[in-house]
Amino acid sequence: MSFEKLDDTMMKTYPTKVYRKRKKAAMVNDPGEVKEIQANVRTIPGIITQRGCTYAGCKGVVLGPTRDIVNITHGPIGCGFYSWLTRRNQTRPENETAENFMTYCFSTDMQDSNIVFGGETLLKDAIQEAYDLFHPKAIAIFSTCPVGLIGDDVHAVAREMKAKFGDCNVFGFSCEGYKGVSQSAGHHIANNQIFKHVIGSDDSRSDSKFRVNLLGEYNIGGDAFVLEELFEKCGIELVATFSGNSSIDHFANAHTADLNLIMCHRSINYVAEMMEVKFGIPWTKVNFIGAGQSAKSLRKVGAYFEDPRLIARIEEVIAEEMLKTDEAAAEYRPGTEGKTAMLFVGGSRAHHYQDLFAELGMKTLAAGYEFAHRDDYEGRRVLPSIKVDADSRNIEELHIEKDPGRYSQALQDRKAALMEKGMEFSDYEGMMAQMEKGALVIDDISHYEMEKLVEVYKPDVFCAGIKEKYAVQKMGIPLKQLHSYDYGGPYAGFDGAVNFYKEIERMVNTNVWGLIKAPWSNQSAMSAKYAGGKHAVASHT
Amino acid sequence: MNKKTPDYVSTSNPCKVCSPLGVSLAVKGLENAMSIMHGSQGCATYIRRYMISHFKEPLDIASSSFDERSAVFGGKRNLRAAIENVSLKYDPELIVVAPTCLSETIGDDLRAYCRNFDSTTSAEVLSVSMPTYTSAHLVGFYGAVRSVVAGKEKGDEKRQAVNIFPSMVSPADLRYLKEIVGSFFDKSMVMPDYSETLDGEIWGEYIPIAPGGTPQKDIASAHKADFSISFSPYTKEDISAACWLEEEYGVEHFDLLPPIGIRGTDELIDVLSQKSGRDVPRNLVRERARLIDALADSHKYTFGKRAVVYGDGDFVAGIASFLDEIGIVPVICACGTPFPRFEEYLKNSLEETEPEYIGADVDFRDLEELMEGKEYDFMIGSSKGYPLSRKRGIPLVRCGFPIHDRIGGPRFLHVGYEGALNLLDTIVNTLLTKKQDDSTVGYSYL
Repeated sequence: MSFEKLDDTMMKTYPTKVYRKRKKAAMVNDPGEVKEIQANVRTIPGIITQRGCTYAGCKGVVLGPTRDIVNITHGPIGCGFYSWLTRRNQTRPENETAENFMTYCFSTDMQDSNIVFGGETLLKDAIQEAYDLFHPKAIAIFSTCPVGLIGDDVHAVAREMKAKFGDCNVFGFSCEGYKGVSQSAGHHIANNQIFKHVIGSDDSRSDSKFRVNLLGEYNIGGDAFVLEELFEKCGIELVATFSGNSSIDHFANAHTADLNLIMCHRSINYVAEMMEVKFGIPWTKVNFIGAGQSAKSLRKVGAYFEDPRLIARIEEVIAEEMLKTDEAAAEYRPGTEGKTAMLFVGGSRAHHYQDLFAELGMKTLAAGYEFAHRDDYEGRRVLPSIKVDADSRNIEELHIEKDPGRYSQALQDRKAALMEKGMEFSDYEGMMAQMEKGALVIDDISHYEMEKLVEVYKPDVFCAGIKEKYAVQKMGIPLKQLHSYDYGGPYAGFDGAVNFYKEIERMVNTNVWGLIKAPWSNQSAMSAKYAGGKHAVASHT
Repeated sequence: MNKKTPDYVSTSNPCKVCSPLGVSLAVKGLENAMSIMHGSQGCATYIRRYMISHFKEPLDIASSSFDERSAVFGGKRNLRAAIENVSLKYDPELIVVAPTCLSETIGDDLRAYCRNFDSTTSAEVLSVSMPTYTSAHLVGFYGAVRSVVAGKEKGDEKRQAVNIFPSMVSPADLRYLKEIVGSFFDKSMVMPDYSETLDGEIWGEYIPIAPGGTPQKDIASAHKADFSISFSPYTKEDISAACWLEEEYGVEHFDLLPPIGIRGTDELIDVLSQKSGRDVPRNLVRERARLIDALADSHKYTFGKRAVVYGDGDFVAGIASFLDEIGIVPVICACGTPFPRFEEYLKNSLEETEPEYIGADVDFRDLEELMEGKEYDFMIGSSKGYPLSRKRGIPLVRCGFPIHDRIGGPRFLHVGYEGALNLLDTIVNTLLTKKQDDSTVGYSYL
C-alpha cells in the first residue's frame, strides 16, 4: 500500500479545508531527512480525537500521582469525578499512617448561584474544610472551564488561605479545559506552578554521592516501583520522581539533585529547563522502556558521575538483569518475529515503546502522538523555528533567573566537560530520527483515520487507549492500552520488559479471532472481509 | 427518621456524574445518531473513557472543541464545523447537541444555533435543553430523550402502539424489556435502546455507527402511539418525554415504579396485559412462579439482613423495593444526585420495611458517616462503592452503572422477573460467600 493510496482513502475524503490541515499532520518518515510535521495545533471540531483537555493534563497527569496533596477541583461535578482514582494512581505511602489523599475526590460542585455570583467564597470554605479535616501539607486548586469565565481568582484565594494557615502550602492552577490545544497545555501549567510554589522550598540533602531526579515518570502499572528498585540496586539515589509514587516533600528538595533524567520529554521538560536556569542542574534524556534502552540510560548516569565504582556496579546490574530479558526474548520472540505494530499514544510512549517492539523483532508500521509538539517528533533542534500561536501564548512563560545562593556552577562545569567528550545534554532527538524509512507518522490521529489505517495495514497489534480499544478489536485486531497498560504492567526497566514481551506474544497469537466465523456457517455472520482474516484460517479449515 | 448528614462544603467522592454523560448514553440508544458535546474536548474524552470502561464497546462522541476565542465569543462556528465533519464521516440521520458547563456559562443559545444548520448537513440536528451544573447524569439522560421526542420532525404514520421510556438500565435489561413488551404488542418502541449498540457483536470490520437503537421513524411517530410507559414517577415533568407526549398530543401516560422486583414487574405486566387485551403469556407466568419459588427457598438467607443502597434515584427506589420484598431491610437509601421528593418516592416503593435513612445528594463521604457505628450485611450499587465496602469489611453487590472493576456490567439483568431472580441469586450468593469466608471451619454445605 502506497502512502498516496492511503492518502486517498484516509484523508482525501475530508472537506478541502480539513484535508489541507490534516495532510500536514501525516507523512512518510525518512530518518535521514526529517520533515516538518504539524503538531500541537487545534483539533478540528467534530473530528473524534483522542485528546483530552488542559484540566486533564494538569490534574490527572502531572499532579495525579502525588499522594499527599489534597486536590480540590473548583467547578461543576463532572471534571472532578472523571479525574478521580483512574489509572495512574498507584502509590506506596512510607508507612500506614502516612498521608494518602488519592482515594479522595474533592469538588466544589458549583451550582448556578456560584456561576452567577462567583465561586470564590465557596472555594475558600472548601479549602478551609479540607484544612480542618486533614491538616495536609499542601492543598492544590484546579480550575475547570467556567472558573476563568466567571472571573474567580483562584490564585488570590490560594495566597489568602496560605497566609491564613501558615503551615499549609496552598496553590492554584488556571488549567481551564478550553485553554490549550490538548492536555499538553495542562502539563505546562502544572510544571510552572510546581516550580513556583514547591521546588526549592526544602534545602536539606542526604550525603549520598549519586543523586538524581527522574522526570516524566508517572508510575503507570507500577513502573516507578520497578525503577526505584533498579536505581537502588545500582546505588543511585532518586531524590524526586515527577511524579510517579511521589510526595510533595520530594518535590520540595528536588533542586538538591545533581542531574535530571527526563523520561517523558513532552510533559515535563519545562521543569527541567527551569531547574537548570535557576539551580544549574543539567538534564539529559533517558528511556527506561525496553531492556536495551534501560541499560543505555543507566550507563548514562554512570558516565555523568564518572565514578569507577558506580560504573562497575551499573555494569554488574545490567549484566544480571539482561540475563532475564535475553532469556525471555529468546522464549517469546519466535511468536512475535516479523509481526507489526502501530502506536498512537501520549507524548513519549509512541516513541519509547518502539524499542520494546524492536526487541521482539516486531516492526513499527506507524506511530504518532496525541498531544506532542514538533520537537517531540523532529527533535529539539527545531525549537527556534516553532511558531508561537495564540494557544501557546495563553500559557504563562515564567521568567526564571539564576538563584545566586543555590546555583551550582560545578554541575554546569561538569556538564561542559562531558559535552566535550560527546555526552548529550538538554537534547531530545525526537521520534522521527529513530523510526524506519517508509513508516508512517501521524499526529493527533482521528478516530476515522485510525479505522482506515487498521483496515488498510492490518497490524498485528495496535497500541492506544481505552477509547480506541474496542473499536479496533471489533475489527479483529488486538489493542494494547498504553495509557493504563490494560491495568497490567509494569513495563519499565528490565522486569517490565519481560512482562511486555510475554503479554504481546500472547496478544498477537490469540486464536479468538479465529472463532469469528462459526464452522457450521457457510457465510460469516458478518462481512467475510474482516481484518483478522489471516488469524481465522487455522481453526476451522 | 432522617439522620442529617453533616453539611459539608465540598462534594467528596461523589456518587453522581454530569448530565452530558446522560445525554451521550441516551443518544447511543437511537438508531444512526451521533452526539456532540458543545464545549471543551475534554468533556467528550472523559465521558467516552468513563462509559467505555463500563460497556467495553466503541463509543464515539464528538466535541465542538472550544478554544479561548470560542469561550469568549461563543461556539457557533465550532459547532458548525463539528456538525459538518460528523456528517461527513459518520453520515448520521440525527445529531444531538448537548450543552456543557462551558457553553451554559457563556450562554450559547443551542436551540437557535441548531435551527440554522440545515445547509451544513442532511441530518436532523437537535439540541438538548437541560441544566448542566445543577443536575446529574439521569437528568441528561431523560432530558435528551425528551428533547429528541419533542424536537424531532413528526411523522404521520402510526407505527407503534406503545412507547416505553426506560431509566438508565443495562443493555441486557433493554433486551429483556423489549421481549416482555413484544409478547403483548406486535409493534412497540423502547427509547433509548442501546441493547445492541452498547453490548454488540464482534464485527470483523468497522462500522462507524453501531447498528441498533430506537428506529428514527418510531421516534417520529411517538405522538401517534396509544400510550406511553415510563418508570420514573418522581422525576420532574419537564424532563419527561412521556409527560410531554401527554401534554402536547394527549398520549396516555403510565408512570410506573421501576420494574425491578416483583411489584414493579407485576405492575408493568398488568398494564401491558390490560392495554393489549392479551393474556399474560405462559413463559412470563412460569418465570414469575419460578421466581416466587426461589424467594421461598432463599428466605432463610435473606430475612432481616441489613443493606445499604446507593446510586441514582430510580435505581435506588427499584432495588430498595426488591429488597423489601425479599425480607432485606434497605437500611440506608442514598441517592447520589439531587432529587426532590426522593423520600416520598422511596416510601411509596416499600411495603414491609422501614429504612433508617433516606436522602438525596449524598456523596460517599456522607455515606461513610451515615454508616458509622452500625452493622450492615452488604452494600449494593455501582463499583464506586468499593473503597467504602472494603473499609467497612462488608461485601458489595455490584450492579447498576458504572461497574469498572468487574466484567459483565452491560449484561447484568435487573428488570423483570428474570432480573429479580438474577438479583436474588447474586445477593444470596454474596451473603453466603461472606459467611463461608468468615467461618473458621471450611464448610462446603450452607
